[in-house]
Amino acid sequence: MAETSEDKKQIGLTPSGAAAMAILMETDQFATEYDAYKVGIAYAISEGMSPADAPDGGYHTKFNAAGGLDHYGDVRDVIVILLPEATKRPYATAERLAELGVTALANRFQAHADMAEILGSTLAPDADSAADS
Amino acid sequence: MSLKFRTLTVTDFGPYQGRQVIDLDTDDESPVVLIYGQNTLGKTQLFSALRWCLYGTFAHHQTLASATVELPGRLNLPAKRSGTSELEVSIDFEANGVPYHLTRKARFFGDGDRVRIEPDLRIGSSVTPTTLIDIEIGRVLHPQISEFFLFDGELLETFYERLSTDRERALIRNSIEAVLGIPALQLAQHDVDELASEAAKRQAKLIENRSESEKIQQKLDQLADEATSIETDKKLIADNLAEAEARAKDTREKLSAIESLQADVREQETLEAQFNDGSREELELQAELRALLGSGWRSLANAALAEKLAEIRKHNSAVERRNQSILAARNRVTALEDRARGGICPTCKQQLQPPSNDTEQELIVAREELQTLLDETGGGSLDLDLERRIAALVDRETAPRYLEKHGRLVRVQMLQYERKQRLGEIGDRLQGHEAADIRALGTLARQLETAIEGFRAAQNKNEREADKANKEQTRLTRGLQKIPGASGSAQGFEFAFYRFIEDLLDKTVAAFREDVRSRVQIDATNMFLQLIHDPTGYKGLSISADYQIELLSSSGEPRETSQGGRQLLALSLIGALKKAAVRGGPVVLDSPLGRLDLEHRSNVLKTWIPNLGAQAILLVQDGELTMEDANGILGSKIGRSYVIVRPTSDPEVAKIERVA
Repeated sequence: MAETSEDKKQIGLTPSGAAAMAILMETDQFATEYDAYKVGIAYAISEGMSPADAPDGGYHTKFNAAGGLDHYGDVRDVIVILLPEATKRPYATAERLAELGVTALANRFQAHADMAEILGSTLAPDADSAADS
Repeated sequence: MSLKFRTLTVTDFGPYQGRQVIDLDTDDESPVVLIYGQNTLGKTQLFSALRWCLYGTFAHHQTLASATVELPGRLNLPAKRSGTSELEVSIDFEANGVPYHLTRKARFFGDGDRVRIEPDLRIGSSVTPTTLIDIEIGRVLHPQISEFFLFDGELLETFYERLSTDRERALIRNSIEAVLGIPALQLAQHDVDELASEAAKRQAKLIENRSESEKIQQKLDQLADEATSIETDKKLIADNLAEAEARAKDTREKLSAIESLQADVREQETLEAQFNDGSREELELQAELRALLGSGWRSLANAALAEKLAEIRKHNSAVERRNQSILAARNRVTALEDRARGGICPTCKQQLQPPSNDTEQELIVAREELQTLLDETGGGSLDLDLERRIAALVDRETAPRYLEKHGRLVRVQMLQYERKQRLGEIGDRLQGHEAADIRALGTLARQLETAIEGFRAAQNKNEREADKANKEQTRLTRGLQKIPGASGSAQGFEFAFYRFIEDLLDKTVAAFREDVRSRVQIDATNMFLQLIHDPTGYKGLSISADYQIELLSSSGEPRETSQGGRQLLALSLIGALKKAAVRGGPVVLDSPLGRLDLEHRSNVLKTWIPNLGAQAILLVQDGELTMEDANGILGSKIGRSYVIVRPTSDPEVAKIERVA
């Protein structure tokens, strides 16, 4: 599942997504924007968001995808495994998912939710049983 | 000391039967007593009687035991034959104006060979105890000097030779020094030496005592310094204690006024400490939560990943089951084909039954089933790699750990909130009072209490030290008082004084010795030159410090002399000693002129005899000096003259008769 030449090397957020990122960082729950960005991707996946719902353009590059953000390649793996249609452009898909996830998290935090509450929902019994069955 | 014989009385001694009295009293103008006697008549017996009476011996160096053995032979034989068993000699003399009456009696027992000697001395009217008689006689006329004053002329010949041997010279020198009175000085010297030794011991003890007392005094001085120091410390401690107590009292009063606030201050201190700890824990937990999100971001996608994992596992299971069915169908086809062919069983190696129709039929069915299974392979292949990759992405640890730590963070935050609330309440109550001031006051109160305890402990220690120092001072002072001479006294100078006296006596003895030696040398030289026939041939006598005498020629060289010259030399020495002697007394000479020629006899009588002092008793024979010659030479110097005669033809009896 190697990176294709069609995929993006630099990924980022739209100004709106960057504003949401600022809200996330203000909560002091993340050590770095890298961490918040990846959490946004995962949150979008967990919430079943579709990359197609993200803006098609307007992204300001913020991170080097393979060399910085995804040094160990697990962002790409998660995208490729869970979204087979994104196999050719996993980081472009990740950018869209991050835009959606960061924005959604910012909304949750503004609604006084926090990461503990959000993570708690991932511990639903069906998830574990699904994996173990 | 001046001594003069008054009478000599002999009773049945030697040739003298019965009691015969010789009056020896003389005056300064006529000091010479002459006793004439032919040889063997009894001059020497008379001389011996005098010596025996004085000293209990018959010769200078004779022992008492030897003299006692000789005594029976001294008893007058006619008297003995007539039954007399005792002899007696008595002397009356005067010493320093005090009359002495000395009697020595010998009683014979048994066959006459056992003897008891009974001395008796009366000094004035006092009877001297027998044991003290020799001491008293020695005091007035010591036996050691008798060699020169009870002089046996027979010894003149050997006198010079005796002076040339060390032993004899030592004896004579001792006698000479006795004559000169040096022993008195030496006794004094010895006494002073003993006194000095005693003083030295006392001095040593004194020095020891002083040393001891000085040590004690030093300790006392140290103790005095310590006492001063203790007293200073005591005052300082008392001042500090008073100040601390005053401040503590003031502080306690202030604290009492804000007593209720003290509890708040203490709680505030505790809460502030807890709040600080909580803040630290809060920060640590927040950091751990951020770190967990950084490493475990995938946990948010856990549900999707788990679903995908379940899906791939289901697929892989289905593929495995189908593959197993195909394998089983193939194995059945192969087994049926083997059976249909017949021959040897490849497994059990036994001969197989020939194929039946049923077998053929079963083979056809099996092949159809295998084909059916193979036709169904459109279900996909086994993808275990994908399964492993998805499983690796599933994170089941981060979320529980995050929640656990978050729960702790929430609890900490709640506690922090409560603490903050409580601190706020306390802060409201303490409004108007500086908590720091209240705390400082409490701290000061505690510090003052501690300081007071310290000062009291120091005070107790100080009092113990003072008490100890006082007791030690008392003990040392008592000890000091008990040490003799510790306070210093004239005793310390005693030793130095005696040493000075001893040294003085040493010098005095040495000077006196040299002085008398010099005088004796001069006097003896003068006498010798007067006595000798040809004085021009002699320069004189040389007498060394140890009384070695040499005759010097006119040129000052030592020279030999004749036998007569040696006798004159001996007489000169005796005369010089007599002149120098501190103990003046009579001279008794037995046959002093016997070895001299007529000219020298004359010289002796003219120049030597008159120089002998207040009393000179000469026992002479006609051969050495006739009465006419004596009268012609001595004239009025002769105070008394006696002659020893034999009244009968009995040679054992002699009698002394007064001539003039």
